[in-house]
Amino acid sequence: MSLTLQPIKYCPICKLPPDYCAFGPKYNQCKEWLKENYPQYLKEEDKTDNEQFLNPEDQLDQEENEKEKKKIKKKVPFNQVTISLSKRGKKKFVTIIEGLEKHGLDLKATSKFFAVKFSCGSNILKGSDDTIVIQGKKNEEVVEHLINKFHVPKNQIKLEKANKKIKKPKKQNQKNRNQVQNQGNTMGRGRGRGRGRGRGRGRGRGRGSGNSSGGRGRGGTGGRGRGRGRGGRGRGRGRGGRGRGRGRGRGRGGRGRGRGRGRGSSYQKY
Amino acid sequence: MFCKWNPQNLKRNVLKSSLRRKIQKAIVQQYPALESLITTLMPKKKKLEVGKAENHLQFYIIESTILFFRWRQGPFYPTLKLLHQIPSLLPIYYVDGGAVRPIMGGAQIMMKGLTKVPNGLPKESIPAQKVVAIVCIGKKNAFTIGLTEHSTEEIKLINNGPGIKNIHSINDGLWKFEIH
Repeated sequence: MSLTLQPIKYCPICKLPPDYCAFGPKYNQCKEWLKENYPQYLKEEDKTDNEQFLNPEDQLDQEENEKEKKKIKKKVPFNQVTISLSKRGKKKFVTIIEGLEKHGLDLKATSKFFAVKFSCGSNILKGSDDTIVIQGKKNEEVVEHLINKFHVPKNQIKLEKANKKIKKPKKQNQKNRNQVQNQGNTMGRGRGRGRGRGRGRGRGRGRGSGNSSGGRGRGGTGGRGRGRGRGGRGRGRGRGGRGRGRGRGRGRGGRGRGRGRGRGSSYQKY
Repeated sequence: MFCKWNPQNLKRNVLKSSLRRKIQKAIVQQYPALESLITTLMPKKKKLEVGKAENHLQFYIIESTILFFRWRQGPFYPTLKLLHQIPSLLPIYYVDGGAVRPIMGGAQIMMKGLTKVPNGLPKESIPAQKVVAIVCIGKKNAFTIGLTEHSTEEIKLINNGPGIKNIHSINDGLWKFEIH
């Protein structure tokens, strides 16, 4: 028995033999290639696509059927009494009753009865003959009265669900100071002219000009000062100062010249 | 077996001709039908290389395509890409379509899946510890290579538990492995 080498073509998309494209990971992309070359190896769902549209008349019939279905709206049964709520303002509600005439009730009398019972206003809507409007949220109580006093059968009353809560619109976020200032890593070089709310205390040695002479005068009181002027505002713990002199220039730190730590400008996020 | 197999460094050596002759002999002994084909598969002018991986796995490579592999001194398994070119090399078991996905994911092949298919078992009984190809019903090409653990008669009788060990299947690590 002598065997021969038979060449085989693999699918160019999923690189599997075409019989197993349907079990592979990229079947959706393989479909088109399969349709041309190996239509027998498609999945059964995809094979029938071609047969559907062979008869154009069948296609039209399908569309008509769908349209008819949409037209048929739900018709309300004849004797139903619907009670629903609607809003008048933010907190106030109004109950609406429809469909009472068919049960042989006098609209005026019933509306007056409700007004007396609930001690609130009630009206008949002008446009229609059937609807009564009561001020306030009285839907459940109305049902009881309808059953007991006016003898409306229970199956024919429909209580509609309360309206969904309307969400309050969110207030726009106040400007987040941190966000505005910290864009990236500012290394204390940031914007905070005066915004830094850090903790450092201006040591008040002056402005840190290289020739600090003990820093009297400017920038604080030479001691524990608050870093008047600059330091006080900035309040970062800047090491700053231009010069490298003794002048710590803590006062300046607030400007963000050093490693300010506070909130706002000198605040850093690593 | 090769589900999540992705080796980083494969050692490769060229075999000298005395060893090469031994291996060719051993392959022909296991697959007598390959006598005439072996010279076309492994022509003399090209070098046969051996690739070694973990667990004493050896591949036999010609021109950067893997032909056979084996563990230690065990039986030679052909790769699926070879098998698609020589479909009648191995005996065939048939399997239902619903079992293809789990087997491609590395599952063993259960006896119930083999007996479920009408006329799925081969006509001649195959003993245990033999290399076997598995094909889905309605298709032509094989999609896994397995090693039988029981003979066909035992599979019919017992009908419970795993029957064939899954060694190499489509779209696993070996299938996707490329040598440069």
